[in-house]
Amino acid sequence: MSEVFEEEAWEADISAMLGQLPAVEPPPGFLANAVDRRPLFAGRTLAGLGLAAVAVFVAAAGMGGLDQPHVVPELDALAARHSSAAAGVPDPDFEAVDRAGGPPISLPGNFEAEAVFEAEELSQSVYATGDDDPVSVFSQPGSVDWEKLPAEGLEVLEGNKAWVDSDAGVLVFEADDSTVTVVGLSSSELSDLLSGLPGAGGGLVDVLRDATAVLSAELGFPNLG
Amino acid sequence: MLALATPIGLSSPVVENRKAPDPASIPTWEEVAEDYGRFLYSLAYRLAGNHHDAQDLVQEVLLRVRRGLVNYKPGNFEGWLSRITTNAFLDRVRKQKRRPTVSMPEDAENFIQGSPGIEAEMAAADLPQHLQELLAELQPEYRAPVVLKDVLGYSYEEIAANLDIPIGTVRSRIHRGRGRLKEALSV
Repeated sequence: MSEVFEEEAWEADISAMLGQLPAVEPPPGFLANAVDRRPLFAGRTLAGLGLAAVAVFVAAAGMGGLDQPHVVPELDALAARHSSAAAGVPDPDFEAVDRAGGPPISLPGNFEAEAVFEAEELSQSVYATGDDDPVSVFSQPGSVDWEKLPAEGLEVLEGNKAWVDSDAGVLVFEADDSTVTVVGLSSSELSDLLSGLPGAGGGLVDVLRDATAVLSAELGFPNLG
Repeated sequence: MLALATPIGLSSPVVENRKAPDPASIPTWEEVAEDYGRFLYSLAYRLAGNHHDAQDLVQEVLLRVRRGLVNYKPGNFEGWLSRITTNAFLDRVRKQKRRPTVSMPEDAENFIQGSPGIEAEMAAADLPQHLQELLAELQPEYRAPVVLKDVLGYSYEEIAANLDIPIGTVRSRIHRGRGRLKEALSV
């Protein structure tokens, strides 16, 4: 189809004004920081993430064992469970963990535990993140079956594997025969997490560390940390 | 008459001052951030409407670019970046719409929220900023094609491919988007 399109005179005026809008400069240092963060993406990011996760789950999961199954996180189902919990309508198959009437466990920054659920061998901890959508941390026993996840999302850095879907805000990683799936991450949260840098409301690595500690306490996993 | 600065379009200094990209080569992620960062930021700002959201959007875009470079086929690299940026922008809008706390107006004709009134007249003294504010108030579905057409200078065909919508829809949205801007400017 040709480009010929009759525009009215006023449209040309509006178009001309818009066409003269100036370039917008990013804040000083923003792009340099973006570039500087690249090595973090390329190297120590997931290494740090892996270490944090291992530090938690080596101690917390304690459900290791060579006979653990390979797990392919059911991403759609987890996303649905996350959405339901975020909307205040948790999956009926999930049972809220009794907190014995105590207050929600607060995490550093703006992250605050809202609820912990479990179903069979899957646990879900939901965290409010201020104005942003909540984040769910799912954990289930078994190592990740990486080959069954879409290849384009795989990251293998310094021996630590992770799977990332930045569009959906999903991160999957493995720690000591447990599969951890984080759902509901905003782009900035995911970026912070991948870069290992603290976010405005507290580092996600810290949040995950505490989240899994919460799971350990709530679900009775051995906490050797 | 205000002396308006240069557009961020394809003929802008933002692009001209950059080394001419080799269409046969695929830049590294670092080169994208360094060579196209200002272009991405400017586009993100025009779409998002403020610096905070623009920074988040650029971060998201850089993540997608980093992942997408693996499969990128040499071609119109800037067009590819624009497509990623607009898609990331619209994805964010869709995600925000799912939040129950914010409801969008149901009146299809109500493309602009609020009335500029006297504040608009005062703001008109700074036309680029005023125009940007009005642009930011357009519904995202109209804002994206208007930005691509009038700020970046893309063709209707390119915009249709960029947004993956029919060309007739592109024309309609641009026409109506401009119309709402005209109405707002004449208040």
